[in-house]
Amino acid sequence: MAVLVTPLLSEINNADATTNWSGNSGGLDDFVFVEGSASYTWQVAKNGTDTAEYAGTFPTNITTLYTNPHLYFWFRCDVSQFSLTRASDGMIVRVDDSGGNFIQWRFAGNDTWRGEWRCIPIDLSNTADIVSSSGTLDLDAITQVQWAVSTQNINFRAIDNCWNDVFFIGEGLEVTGSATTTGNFLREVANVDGSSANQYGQLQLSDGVLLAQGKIVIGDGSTQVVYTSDAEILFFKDPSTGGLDGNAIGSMSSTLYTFQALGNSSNSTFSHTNGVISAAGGQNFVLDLDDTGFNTIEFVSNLVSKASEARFWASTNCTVDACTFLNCGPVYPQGSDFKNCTISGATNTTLGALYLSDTTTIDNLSNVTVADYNGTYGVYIPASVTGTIDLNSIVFDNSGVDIFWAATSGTLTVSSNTATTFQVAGGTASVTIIAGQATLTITNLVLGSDVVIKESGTTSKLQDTQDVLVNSVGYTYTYSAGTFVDIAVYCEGYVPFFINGYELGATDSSLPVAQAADRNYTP
Amino acid sequence: MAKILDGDDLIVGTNITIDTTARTFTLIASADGVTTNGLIAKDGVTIQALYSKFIKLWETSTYNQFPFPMYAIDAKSGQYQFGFDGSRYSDWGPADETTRNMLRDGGWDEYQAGGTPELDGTSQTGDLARRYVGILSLGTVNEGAQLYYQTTAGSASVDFVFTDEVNQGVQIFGDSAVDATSADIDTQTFFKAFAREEGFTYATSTLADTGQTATGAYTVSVLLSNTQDLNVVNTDAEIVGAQSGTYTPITVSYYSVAQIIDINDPADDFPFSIVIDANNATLQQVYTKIQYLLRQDSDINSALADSLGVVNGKTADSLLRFVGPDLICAEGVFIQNLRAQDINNVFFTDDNGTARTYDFAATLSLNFNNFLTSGSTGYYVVYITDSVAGGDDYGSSTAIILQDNQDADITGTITGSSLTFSIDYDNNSQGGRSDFSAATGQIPITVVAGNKGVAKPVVATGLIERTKSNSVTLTAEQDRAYTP
Repeated sequence: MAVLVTPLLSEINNADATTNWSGNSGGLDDFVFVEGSASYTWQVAKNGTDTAEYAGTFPTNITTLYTNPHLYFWFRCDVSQFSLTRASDGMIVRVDDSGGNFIQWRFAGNDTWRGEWRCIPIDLSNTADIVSSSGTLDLDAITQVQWAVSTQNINFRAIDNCWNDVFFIGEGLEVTGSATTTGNFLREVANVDGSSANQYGQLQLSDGVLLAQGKIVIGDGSTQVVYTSDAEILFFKDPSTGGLDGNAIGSMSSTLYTFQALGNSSNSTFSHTNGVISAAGGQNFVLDLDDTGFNTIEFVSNLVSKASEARFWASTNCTVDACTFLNCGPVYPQGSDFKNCTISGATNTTLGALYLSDTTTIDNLSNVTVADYNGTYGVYIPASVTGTIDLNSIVFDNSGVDIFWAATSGTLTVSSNTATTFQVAGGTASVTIIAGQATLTITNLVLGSDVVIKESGTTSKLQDTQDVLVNSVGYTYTYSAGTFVDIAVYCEGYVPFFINGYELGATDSSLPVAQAADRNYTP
Repeated sequence: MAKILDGDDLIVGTNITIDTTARTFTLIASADGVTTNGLIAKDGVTIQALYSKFIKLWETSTYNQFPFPMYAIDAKSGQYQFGFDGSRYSDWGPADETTRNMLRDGGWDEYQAGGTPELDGTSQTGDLARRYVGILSLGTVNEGAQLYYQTTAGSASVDFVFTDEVNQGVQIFGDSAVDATSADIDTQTFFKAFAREEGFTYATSTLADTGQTATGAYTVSVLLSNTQDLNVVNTDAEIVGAQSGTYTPITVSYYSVAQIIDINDPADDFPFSIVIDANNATLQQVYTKIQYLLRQDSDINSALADSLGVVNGKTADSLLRFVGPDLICAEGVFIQNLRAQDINNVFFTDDNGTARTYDFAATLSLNFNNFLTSGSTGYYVVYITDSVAGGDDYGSSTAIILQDNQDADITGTITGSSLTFSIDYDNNSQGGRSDFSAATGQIPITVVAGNKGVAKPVVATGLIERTKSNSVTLTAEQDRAYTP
């Protein structure tokens, strides 16, 4: 099976014919094109403005189909460097509706683009970069899209110098199936996207990095998807910094980007390992792996950066292991098997770094570190969580408010050994911090052994267990940082076993002993 | 009660006390030396039993909050450490010398916690305060034998604490800076033990004998055993009393310069640095006297010139030993003034390590009756009866007088009832003699003796064979007819 790519796009025209196209000295060019068999070419003269437009049929349900509809058009302009600057409206695109309403957005200029083939996105809801407008543009009644290029008073030959190829309105890709090569799912999607028959302009593979400029949905909720991505690097592009010298080419909604999983509740699986998912420039994205439609979701050893939020399926069939969430909004483990992860540089000042929605979520955490949350919270606990919770599995760095409890009444008791000083904030409710209990389990004991635990370097016994009947002994203690013990194990016929200066940890731990037969002992 | 081998026989408060504050243990022997508390000092306690007792005690809540007192490296080789539990150092150790003297079958180190100890007195570093080597003697010695040892060459001897066979820790290292109760000692490269008892064979054992090059905190088995010595023919009391006339002249001289000794030839020039004067005593008497001297805690050196100086008898090396009838001298030892009949029963090794012996000497004893010995004025001459070359036979004017092994003619004054001479049977070529075989090379002799005015001249014949038992008896009639 291969990946099956379904564009979340409405193709308006592929410019393989001149039908509904018009423009200055316009015509069909079957030599210069990126998609299909031809493109529409037109001419721009010096020291003036020339246009081309398409006035064909447009979908009438754009707002129904798409939450964040964008115009994606393939465009080439060989006189880009003779055009005015972007700020001077060197290149603009105009969308008209049947009611005479329109909006003109500037999208490039000689200072942002050299004019090579490029699929340029335009956020149709963008209220910035507007050159002029009239009325309220109705996206479900679009009648025409027009492109205009304004040039400087510089001599150049008036020949075909602008080309339009296929263009779409939509918001991304939806993919089912499976990768031909395990682990290459996204790369294979990029190959499909970039084929001459498609040229969706949503996902490109550039020098080993996957660059997206639309949402990516893994699965469609009804068709099997076997997603395997290993060591793939995915960046969501930022058109506002995509041009020359970090200037803009096109525009992008700040809420478009999503990396989402949708299983078919039958035989879909999801595995994303050793990868990077991030967003460029000022963009961010939603990582949404909260879907019950998968048999398993495995998200292991990944770096997630600039996710506005990250949600995971509330099931232990969803494993999130050894991942780093850097400069992200709240991470919602939601009862997944969430372990060995670090959340650093929380960006959401309201919901903190780690959102603990319920006690199941808390119970399923293991070895989680939250750090660098100055100005926000290490952990956000909604008011629905009450009673006593154990946060021993979370290590705080005390860089900001460690715990925020949203309740306005009642009492929350937090047991934790991992922070010596908690900052607590929240509503008017009371949060009580108690030092948690941890247990050191001495294992691999010879039956009949005596286990003595003393304050390190003293003769003060903390626990004296005589003649153990099982192979292990537990010592439960109230954690205090920098506490050391001496452990002695005596058993007739075995060499006395000592571990001195053992530091008691904040969390439960296990310590196997290795008692050796004592050839020097006589009964 | 025998040596305690089982830790269960150590009873806290009865024969052992443990001071968890001072970190010491004390072994308590029965006051009457019998068995009132199960421990006899001379029998002692094996360190393995002590270790096993500690293991059991530290299984109890009474003791297990304290550092474990010791570490057993290996019971078989007797390697133990006190004040170290295999992990950390503490100040545990025997309380006193009495306790130490009761430890058996091992050597040990005693550590003090080093650096800045924890509140419990332990430390990750330790300072060695004392080291004891476990000396065990192999073999049996006579009951009551007081064995002794040296820990440095030339030092005075030290008696082991208990008599009979040895099983005792001997201190070989001590650092007073660590343990103020210890002297500064470091004698780990030398050890020598002695078993020298009157009337018994002697034994000496050095580190080299045990396969060790140094002593340490482990067991060293020294080879010390003895049996009744049948070659000792007189008691100490007799040596210095009734038989002093025989024994006093028997001396030994230790020289700082090798003495040049001629054994078979005036030009032998063999070097020997220790010379025993036998004074014509028997070999057993010589041996008896020398063994006596080697038990004297005093200077036994009789050298007047080139003297080595003071040589303490107790720690001096053995000089002689018997193998059957033969007396074997240690290297560099020579015995002078031997009886003629003994010279072929003594074996020497000179200072250079070369074995030296007298050539074989046949012995001729001339026995005279009282008329011949009267007044010590008689004479004797031994002639070759029938020379091989002919013409020189007894009875001719050129008759040949037989020579002894020093090429001296055997003739002279009768000074006793029996005179003994050594004959160089294997080399004597007088009268053209060339057959030196025992079977056919015998020398026929004619002995002439007389004592003017007392005994008539007498002639007797004999045959010198390759043996130590040639003898000729001369019995003369009283001469009543002689007038001066």
